[in-house]
Amino acid sequence: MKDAFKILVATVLVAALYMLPGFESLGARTKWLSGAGIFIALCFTLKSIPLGVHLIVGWALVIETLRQVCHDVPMKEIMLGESYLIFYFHFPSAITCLAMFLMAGGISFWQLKTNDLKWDQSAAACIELAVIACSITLLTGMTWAQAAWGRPWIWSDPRLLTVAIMWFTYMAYLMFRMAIDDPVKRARFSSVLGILFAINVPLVWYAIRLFGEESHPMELTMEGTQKEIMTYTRWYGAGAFFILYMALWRLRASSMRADAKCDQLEDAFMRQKI
Amino acid sequence: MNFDILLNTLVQGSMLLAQAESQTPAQPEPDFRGHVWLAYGFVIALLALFTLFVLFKLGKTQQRIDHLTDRFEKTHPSPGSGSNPPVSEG
Repeated sequence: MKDAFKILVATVLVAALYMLPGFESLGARTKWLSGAGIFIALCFTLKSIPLGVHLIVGWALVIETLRQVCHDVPMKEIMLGESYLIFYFHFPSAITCLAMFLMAGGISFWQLKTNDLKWDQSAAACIELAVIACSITLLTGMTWAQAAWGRPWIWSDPRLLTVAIMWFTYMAYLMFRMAIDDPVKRARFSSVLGILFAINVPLVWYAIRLFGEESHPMELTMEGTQKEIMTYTRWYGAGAFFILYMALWRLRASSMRADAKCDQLEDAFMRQKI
Repeated sequence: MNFDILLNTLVQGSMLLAQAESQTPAQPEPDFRGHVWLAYGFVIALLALFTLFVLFKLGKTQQRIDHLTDRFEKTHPSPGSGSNPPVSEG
């Protein structure tokens, strides 16, 4: 009953936001606040949905995004031509990876506070998924850059550089985890790293404002209904990918927890034998 | 007089150049659709592979759990199971 209520509240929130007249003309602060509200509602709701259903819904939404890209959106953009189509998978991966790195930072902080190993497994699973999303962002970005700029990488672009640094730091985090055997020690060190590395996330977001102009296209140059369709598909894709990544995160975290339980049991057996 | 000849040559030259430019076939617009679909295929394949990997890992963990449960049942037989020694009455 409680879960059903959560799902209902989240659905009403999302529907209200979409139906709000003139949502596009709202101020940035209102958009951010409503976005944050929906994000929190989604996080609470998704936990109540059975994992199998969550996974199937996530995949269905991603496939639906692909269908929209093939049929609904214009095949060419004024400035970027047809290479802009990569954007519909590039943008959702970028948004998801930033959100998940931030979430991992928060979970790591909670792990340090509570000393509960289950939060360490959650943070590690979250970072694994975020690294995958970050790799997808980098690879799709490079493909797009090759098409739009004639070369896959521009070192002087602050956003590209900060994302690359973020990818390397989190790869280091994953390798560091593999190097420590003691679960308690591993959890403590990983949590500290998880919090430290999360500082890079706002840096990526504000890279352009902090370090000057960049080559990154910020807005799609289309007008009228075509632009509306593009904006809708862009955010639909972001939501779809986020829901799929959440399902994969839950799956990975449960697998890690089960593994940790098995290790504990095996240790107990070994001690009993000795 | 010489100036007229020079001017005529220039005009004729520029006209010839314009004609040549109009006859050159237009550069075909580069086709990036292949790149786009390749990127989409890569994203979907990567996520699908990760899903399968985690499901496979879960299957393996389930096997470990079954194995541990068997071992536990062998070392700690439950009171109702047949492996218990019969309890003498009286």
